[in-house]
Amino acid sequence: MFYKLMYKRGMHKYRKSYINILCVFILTLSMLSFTSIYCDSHYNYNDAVLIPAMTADWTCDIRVKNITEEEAILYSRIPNVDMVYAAGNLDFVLLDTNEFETVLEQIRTILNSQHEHIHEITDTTPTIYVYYGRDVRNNIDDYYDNGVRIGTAVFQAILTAIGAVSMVLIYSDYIRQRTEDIRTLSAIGITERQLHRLFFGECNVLYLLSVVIGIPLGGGIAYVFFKVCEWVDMSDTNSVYPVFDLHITSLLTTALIGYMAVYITFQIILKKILRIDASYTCAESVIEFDPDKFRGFYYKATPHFRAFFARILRKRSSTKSKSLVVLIASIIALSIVMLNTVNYAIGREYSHGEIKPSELAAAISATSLFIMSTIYAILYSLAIVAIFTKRQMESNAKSTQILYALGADEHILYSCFHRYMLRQFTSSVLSGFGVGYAATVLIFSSVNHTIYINLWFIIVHLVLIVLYYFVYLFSMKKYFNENCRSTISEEAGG
Amino acid sequence: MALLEIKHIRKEFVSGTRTVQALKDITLTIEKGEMVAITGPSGAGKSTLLQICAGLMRPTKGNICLDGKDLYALNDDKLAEFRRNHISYILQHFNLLPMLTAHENIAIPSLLNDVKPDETVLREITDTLGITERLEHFPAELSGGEQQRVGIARSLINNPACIFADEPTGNLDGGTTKDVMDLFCRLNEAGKTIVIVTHDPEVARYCHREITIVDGMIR
Repeated sequence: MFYKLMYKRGMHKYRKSYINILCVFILTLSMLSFTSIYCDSHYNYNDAVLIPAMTADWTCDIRVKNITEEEAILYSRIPNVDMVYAAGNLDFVLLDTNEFETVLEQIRTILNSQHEHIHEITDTTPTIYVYYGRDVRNNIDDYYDNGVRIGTAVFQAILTAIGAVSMVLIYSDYIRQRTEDIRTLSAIGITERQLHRLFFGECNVLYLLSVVIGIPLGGGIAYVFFKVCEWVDMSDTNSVYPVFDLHITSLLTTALIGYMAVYITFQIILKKILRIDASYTCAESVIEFDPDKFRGFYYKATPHFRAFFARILRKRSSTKSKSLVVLIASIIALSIVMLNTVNYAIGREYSHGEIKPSELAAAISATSLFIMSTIYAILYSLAIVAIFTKRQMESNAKSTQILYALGADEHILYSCFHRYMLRQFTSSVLSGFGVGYAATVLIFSSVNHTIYINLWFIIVHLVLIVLYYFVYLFSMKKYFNENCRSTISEEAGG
Repeated sequence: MALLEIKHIRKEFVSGTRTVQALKDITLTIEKGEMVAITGPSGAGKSTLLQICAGLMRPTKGNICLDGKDLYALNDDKLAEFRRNHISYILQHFNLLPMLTAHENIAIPSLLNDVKPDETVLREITDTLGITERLEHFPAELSGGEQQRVGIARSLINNPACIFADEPTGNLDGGTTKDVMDLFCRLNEAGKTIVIVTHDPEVARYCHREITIVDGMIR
């Protein structure tokens, strides 16, 4: 009964906070589901039956991949070769290496007669390197697949960690709002177990909702992403691109990883909840002041006040807010590295000359993990910026109220906050870009890549800066009006 | 018969390298059915003593026996349950849950016991307090006096042995203060033990006994 009542009423009172938490949960779940689907997708080699053949030390070998045992029998009439069929591959060992081209031609003829309309045999079919009898190409394939999986897992881990930080921040913000409720309930006699159950239940409901919305959202984004690229005719390219594949197990794993992130977040928050001390309910004092008595004092000090207050804001900013600037800068740096990687993968080939739509589609599709990871990282950093700004304005509400009552002008107070926020915006964005580019140069030079600068790339950077500034400014205005301005008019009659 | 026994209570707060002694060896007994006022200047330790007596803050040394039970021998969960069923605590700032109606706020201590409040008892309490008409209103829609009455009703719903009130009239005007104190007197006449922390000599005058605390000690 107690829990039902609290949830029912909380839904009205804290709806906004629930929506905010839900948004961050959904963002995390959709990111996890997108990356899981990417990880599970198989890779399209244009449906060609490949004839990798190569000559590293001019010893010859040929392999026909992706054929059935029945199809393999058709090749038995080719002379001068030994054949071994295993695991969908037919390996040819040439008895006479001078016969390489002849054997290859015969294989192509059979392949074309068998798969004329199904498979395309192109000259761009990748070759294999046979080196001391070892099929290096196969190893490369394995490395590539494993690399994609490991890379995806690394992205998932990084983005989940960022997601968990955002979840902790947004949840702490909600708990701050409920501190007084928790104190009152503790004074009445709620046990730790009941508090745990109350908030854990809430957290689970929000998680379930985010699973219902987030996983289909991530899957939907992946589907649209891959399908759009699949619809473009890419038969003229030899690019490898992922094909949408849905495995129920991976969705369950996604839900499980998401739940682990939510659970860890909750455990961190629970510690905060249990630290809330009921005794403060009575210790809290209301700062009393007489506005009329002091009004005008700060009007006299106005010429110096702006500089004074801005300096105070800067000097008194807590270690927590400084570490948040570092966090935002780190995520921006990560986005910059990924943005450069995307630009390298897509823009490298097409920086000169005409861009073929099919090749562009294949490149976008193949780098969709990077593209989406960049987008998710940017979304997370924007969410953190908004939460951070909200906290700043809320924590300064009381000071603003007193300063206003002492006679400080509202516009001056606003401009002080604006100046302070602008400083934080500049430092976090500049250091994020700086560290991001330093890391990019370091990584790219170690793998002999060069940074490509083109028009769309510059536009994306500008959009990014404008976006960050807009979120900083918008949140500051919103929360100044909500916390400082309304308090001013209510409490001090301004 | 002693309801509350406070034995050699000391409370120290550590702030950085500094240790502040809020209470210095306080020993006190409050009889069943007594109405006691704890007075003293700001920072004397009145509220700290009240919170320790009400089981909200563990003392650095000493123990508190309420109705023969050593409060701080209990673990946190047991202490919370004991507080819920045997002690009630009334606050200066009313501390009602803003999202619940007056009725729901009053019912919360019972609901925490996983039982529905006895509606007859609830009506009796609210009739006595004169807030029956306001039960479906939210705290924001009530006046200060009404909010305090709801707080008092909440504190009575589980029929506690002892009521602790920290500046219960601190946020009320003169007329409402008198009403609330008359109410406390009626509750005391009905057999409730009441301990009130106050700055106001007028409020202290309603009580049987006045204990003055100065600098963490009983004067």
